[in-house]
Amino acid sequence: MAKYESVIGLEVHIELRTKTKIFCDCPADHGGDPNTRCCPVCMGMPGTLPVLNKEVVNFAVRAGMMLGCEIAHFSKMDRKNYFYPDLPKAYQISQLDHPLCEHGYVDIEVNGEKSRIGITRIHIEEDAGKLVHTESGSGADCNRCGVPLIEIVSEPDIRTAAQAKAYLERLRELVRWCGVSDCQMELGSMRCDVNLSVRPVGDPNLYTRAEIKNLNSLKSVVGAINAEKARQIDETQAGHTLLQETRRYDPEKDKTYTMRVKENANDYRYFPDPDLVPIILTDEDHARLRAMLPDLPEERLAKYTGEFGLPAATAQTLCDNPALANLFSAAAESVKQKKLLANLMLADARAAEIPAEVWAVLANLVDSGKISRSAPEKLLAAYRETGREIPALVQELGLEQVQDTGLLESVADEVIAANPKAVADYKAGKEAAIKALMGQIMKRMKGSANPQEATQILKEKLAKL
Amino acid sequence: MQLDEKTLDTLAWLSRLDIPEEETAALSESIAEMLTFFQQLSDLDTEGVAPTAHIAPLQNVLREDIPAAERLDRDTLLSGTESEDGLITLPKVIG
Repeated sequence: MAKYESVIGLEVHIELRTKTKIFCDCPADHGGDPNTRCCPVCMGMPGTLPVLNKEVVNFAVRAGMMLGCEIAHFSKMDRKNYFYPDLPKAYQISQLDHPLCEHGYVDIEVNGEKSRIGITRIHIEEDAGKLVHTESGSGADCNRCGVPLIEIVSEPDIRTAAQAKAYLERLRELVRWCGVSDCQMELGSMRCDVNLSVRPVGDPNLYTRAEIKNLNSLKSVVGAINAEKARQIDETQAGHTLLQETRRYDPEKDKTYTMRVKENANDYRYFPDPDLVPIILTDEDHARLRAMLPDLPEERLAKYTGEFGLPAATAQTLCDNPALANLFSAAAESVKQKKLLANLMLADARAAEIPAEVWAVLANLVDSGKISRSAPEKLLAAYRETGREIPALVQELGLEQVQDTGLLESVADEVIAANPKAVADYKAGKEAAIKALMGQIMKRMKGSANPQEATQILKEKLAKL
Repeated sequence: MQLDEKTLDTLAWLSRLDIPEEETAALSESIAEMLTFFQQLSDLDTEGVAPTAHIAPLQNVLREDIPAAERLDRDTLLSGTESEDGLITLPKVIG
């Protein structure tokens, strides 16, 4: 019996994290009561005009560059016509023949075997709304209408479910890393369609494929691929002809089911959207956007553990959160003690809300001994409340550690004179007695002494006695 | 230009129109006339003319990514449509 292999291509939809929607100034983030984040434009009311969000173009190009794509100099928007109640205009504004990005790739490794998965294209388009099915019927919520998406179409270069998983993981890592999306499959900001056909191993031809729609977890992608591959092999071996169709995957039953059979490829009657004009990107635009690209995540990790000397776990924790890693890198430029900076940032659950300059100021104040290691927590709380500059807050909260050696020395002299017993204990070899003297210094200086410096001075004075 | 019955059926399906039997002949003729009218464009010599995507000589009409300062409230937005609990009422979609 012939051995079969699967030929797999993936279409991945990713929501871009812009502030506003692709063609109107409604907020693009999730949530809100039904139909409270939409307007006449994204609801497709007659007489409204879409205007393309500049940041959508920037984000899509950035993702394309991150994935090794060639970037278009000429691009345009097209209408894809179909009827569905979650699509108020009865067409989706998408891109047909001039996508923003083409010919990219993702390198993966599965069980030590490296392969390169080609990316055919990346285009921008608008998301549809949501249907809510209630007891009395169906209702439409347009909040998601017009949320910007990129669709990333791979070449049919994937052969196994494990490769598909590795491709999606690397894709997600890179897209998150360049800051254009959070790619959370469980929240629907990254969704995957699988195109799959089977053929005898060694046969270079492509056969009739099925498309499995709307997979929203890596687990369901893997499950759908394995189930559909098995189904197609069974059908082929039974001598049945496979249909080009759209199927859905039921993870409970671990089977795929027919949704609809494709009637013909031109159903969508694409045509250039007359409401939107061409997008022209010059060489200068390309260079400007390329200059904004981050390094690769693995390069950053190597920099943190190597040049910066961070422990591997600390570096990994930072890199797991691209926004935090970028913030750390920006702050680290003006901080010598990178590890101190990293530890300060990782100790704060909402570190990403604080500007890089503030982190740099805090780390440098601690490093120079001007404030104690525990002061940043108080300062951050005050900063969040007031938004005032850190040096002003240090003054206001009395967190400055005294650097005045002359003052420290005279206080130390006073304390030594006033505590003969502790001094005698120390001289007799009870080193712990110095703590009592330190406590006295701190008390007299109301906690503003730098402990290291005070200890040093105290030791020197005691040694001379 | 002729329009065969199958093409008319496809058009009707794509437009979700239920065309009564007695209207098909007249409609076929009328659509065929329109097609003939547009056919004239094919007669133009476009040798050496660059393809265009838009009739207006405009490009890069783009908007900054700034949320609207004011928004229409839901009652106003939905005032022209049937709705229930803030959802736009639809005919039954599935089933």
